[in-house]
Amino acid sequence: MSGATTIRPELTQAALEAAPPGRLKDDPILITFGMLKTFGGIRAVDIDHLEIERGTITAIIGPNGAGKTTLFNLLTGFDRPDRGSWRLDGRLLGGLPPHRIARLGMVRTFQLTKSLSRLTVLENMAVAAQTQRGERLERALLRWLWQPEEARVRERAQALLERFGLAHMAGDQAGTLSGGQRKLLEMARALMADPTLVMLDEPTAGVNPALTESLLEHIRDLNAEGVTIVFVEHNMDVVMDISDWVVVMAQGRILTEGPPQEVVANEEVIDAYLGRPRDTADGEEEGDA
Amino acid sequence: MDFDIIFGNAARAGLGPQAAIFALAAIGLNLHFGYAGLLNFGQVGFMMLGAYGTAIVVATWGGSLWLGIPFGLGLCVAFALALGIPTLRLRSDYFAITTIAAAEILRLLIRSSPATDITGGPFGLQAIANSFFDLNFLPDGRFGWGTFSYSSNQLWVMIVAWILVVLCSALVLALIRSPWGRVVRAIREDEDAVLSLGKNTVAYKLQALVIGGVIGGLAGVIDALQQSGVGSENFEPQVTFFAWAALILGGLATTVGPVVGAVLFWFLREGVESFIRELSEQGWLPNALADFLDGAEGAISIVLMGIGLVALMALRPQGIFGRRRSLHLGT
Amino acid sequence: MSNARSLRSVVALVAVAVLSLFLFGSAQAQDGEGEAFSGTLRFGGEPVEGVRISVVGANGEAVGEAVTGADGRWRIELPGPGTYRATIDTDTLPEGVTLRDPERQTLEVTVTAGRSRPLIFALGEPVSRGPNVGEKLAQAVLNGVKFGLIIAMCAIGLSLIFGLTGLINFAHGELVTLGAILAWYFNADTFGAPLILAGVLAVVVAGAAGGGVEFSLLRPLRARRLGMFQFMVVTIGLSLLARHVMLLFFGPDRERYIDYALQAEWTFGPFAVTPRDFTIMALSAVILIGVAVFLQRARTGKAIRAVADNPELAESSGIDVDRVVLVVWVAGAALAAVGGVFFGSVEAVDWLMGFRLLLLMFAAVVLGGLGTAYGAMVGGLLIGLVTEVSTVWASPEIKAVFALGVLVLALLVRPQGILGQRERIG
Repeated sequence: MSGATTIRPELTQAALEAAPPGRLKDDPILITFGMLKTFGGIRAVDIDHLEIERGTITAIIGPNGAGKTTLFNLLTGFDRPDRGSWRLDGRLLGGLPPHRIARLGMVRTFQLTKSLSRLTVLENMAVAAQTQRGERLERALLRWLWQPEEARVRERAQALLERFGLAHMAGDQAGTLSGGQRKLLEMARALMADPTLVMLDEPTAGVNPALTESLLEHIRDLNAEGVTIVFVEHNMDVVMDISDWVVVMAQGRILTEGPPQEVVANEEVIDAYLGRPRDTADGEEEGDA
Repeated sequence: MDFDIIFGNAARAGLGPQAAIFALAAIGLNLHFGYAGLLNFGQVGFMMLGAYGTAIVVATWGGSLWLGIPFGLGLCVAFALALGIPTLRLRSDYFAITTIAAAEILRLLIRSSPATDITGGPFGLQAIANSFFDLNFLPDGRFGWGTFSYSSNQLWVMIVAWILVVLCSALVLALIRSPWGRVVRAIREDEDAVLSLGKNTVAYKLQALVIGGVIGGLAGVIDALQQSGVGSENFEPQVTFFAWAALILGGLATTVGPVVGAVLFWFLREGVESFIRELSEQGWLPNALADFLDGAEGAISIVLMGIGLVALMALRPQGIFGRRRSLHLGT
Repeated sequence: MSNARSLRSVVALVAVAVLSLFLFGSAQAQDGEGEAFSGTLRFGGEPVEGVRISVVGANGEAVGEAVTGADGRWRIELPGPGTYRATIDTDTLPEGVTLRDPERQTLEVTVTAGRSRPLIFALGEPVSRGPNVGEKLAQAVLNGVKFGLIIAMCAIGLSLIFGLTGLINFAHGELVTLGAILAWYFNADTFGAPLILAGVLAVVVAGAAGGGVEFSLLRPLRARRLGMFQFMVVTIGLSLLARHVMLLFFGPDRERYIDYALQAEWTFGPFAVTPRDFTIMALSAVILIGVAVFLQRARTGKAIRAVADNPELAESSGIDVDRVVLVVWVAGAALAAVGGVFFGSVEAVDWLMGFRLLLLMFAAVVLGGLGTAYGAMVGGLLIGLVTEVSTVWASPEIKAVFALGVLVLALLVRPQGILGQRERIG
């Protein structure tokens, strides 16, 4: 297990051996230790240890107020934990601002879709490009420095839009898209940023069944290309359908984790979902609004 | 009632140095709010720093005007950084409040007696623009027809000012069409989304604040040149509101909006004042009303402006030339 | 603000000095008998008798001595032109009477041939000169509390309206001015009503005006889902409109109320306060406590807090949000008008007073936590204290600069304000 401790320097040998079954992954891309976030005394997130296996699709489920979105916010730098450390590909991310974390390859989407309304669909895509150095002020006026790269960016954006079935709307303002189309655009935009790990916050919320099917198809395709995917989801059909691994959260903690079939059979999970009514306070879920 | 006089006065104001100064201030505001979504209510602070920076170098330190202007604009950069670094991480309404307060407090500092040795305090600074007017190649005399006419020096200021307006408009247009401008406009729509795509949004906002502020500073420089002096009473918070009124009149987030708006603003303002003056001079009004109006045309035109702003927002919130559709896409 | 008071005392002092120069100048002209020192000792307007004053020459040789008479006068003839040192014997001063400036117990004065020089040993409360920072500080704190209470009262409406509707009301300062100006009309201009009655009338009218703006303009616009920016422009328009209408009718000059204009100060230890200011402070405190109790206890008060907390949730739980907003507009405008009357009483009434105060109100609400009434109170008090206390060391003209300094500092350390809820901002 010496390899296990080198990628997890925070953990002692004893702690490693005490880890619940399934928690240790063979090739984790993301490792989190001792993550705690409290809001006014309530522990919104309190996670000892969480690992995400590279190249998998991991679903995070749990009742409203379980801390799923807060966890996303913490991992992607949009919120600061009270304590805790986490690594992406071995690199510590604590204290980094969100844009630095995104540049390292962890790109997120939002529960409430954030399309850039008064930019065109194509511009929405182009903003996500990581290679356009004309975005630097000192080069902005020197058109010849960024024009060639701009052509490549547009080409790639167009190809992605093609794939997501939005190419015919490339010149439209993003605000004119339907809710489902915005979800697609947001996912396509996240891809444009060349991520190694994509964090999708309720990708199918408010999307009609036909479009949901197409969204899931895209998630599978992406995963097939080697992108690791973590997503928050309420729809258990979706979870059972596409995830390789399921993490169940309740009241900020990890209740259990495992392959989907095992998790749905777990008594504790059933209790968490059915034994307790879904609480109405979803302020936490809207924390990023 | 002599409409030639009224129209001549209005046209003189609409094309005159004041209109060009407001056009510059509004171009800066347009970059701030129209493109970057920054609610800057302290644009007059940048104008004041541009003007005073220039004037202090010339009148207080006896330096050259051509050193004074870059110094004034440098002060604008410093002000933008000092203002932006603590507040740009905050919500836009906090930013709005901080900017209006900062600009006014800067004005109080400038006119305070401890600062008198440098800024002239309540008396301001004079005779700063000689080397600018030395460059005036126009012959002496008046140019124009009737009340629509300018002195040689006024015309010289106008030529320079309107050239600057064109240059600054072109600069903002080029910036906005670049990838940099794309990121800035994206931040206006949703800052978190842009953060999640790996862009340092605070840096972009700060850059936009600096550039728009320096353009506002240029407006102040022109103001100092055309008066050949500075006085703190020219930089009250009101000025920012007027620049906003001009921008809204012309239309946000368009290239010509701030320019058209500034011209319209001064045309209307001077037109109204001139109309009221004519009214009371013609003796058509009952004496009591004429007495009331006498000398009050400035206040009345501002009252009308206030009514106009409220009516505009109630009836055409997208501005006179704005498109309704793009308003509703925003939040 | 406080400098106006100290300015007044300085002006009075100078006037007395000039006047006495005149008097003694002519008195001495009648005497016309060579060199002398003379003067009159007064304390609180009354002559002081039996105080010994002695004069020594340049080499310390005794020249003469005098004791003040029943009229407080004294006179010492000098042997000739030259420089002399006159000393007042403070031991001979009556109980409770002191030199205004202890360092001026001995005066060194040069006398030219044939001239009689009046000397002034000023008696009474020490003025803000010299190193008695402690007393200046005490007075500044008192002034700070006074203005802080007024700012707090003015700012409650501003903060609550923001909390309820997300609107930054740039016209809030004009409600302050409106209250002050209306009270002046009722009191000093036409009706000659006593200030208390005039103030109450003004507050009622201003409250109605606030309610009218909300009911007839802002509520319909809210129903049309106007953006935050458009609302800001509407209030800027209203502010320009109201301010300049008031300028048209009231004019550009500063005016004062007739009642309570000049009062002798009460002193409590290091604090000196006029009965008027004391009453204003007490009333302000009572009103602020009343607002707090109302928000905590009354049905409508609780509804206000609920809407400020979460408008959607409040609406869905059966609270009539429009009614609550209207109540806050009326009450907020009325409170601002009360602040205006108080401010006009303490200082003066002019058409720009509210707009000037608006910046301090902004600082107060951001400092205390945008959107909460208690935040406005705490922030207002703090801003009042900071601005006034700064005048102990800095020029009063730049006291507002310190308000901004505190504001920026607070934004850096605690962006949500002192009492604001901790949430992610930006």
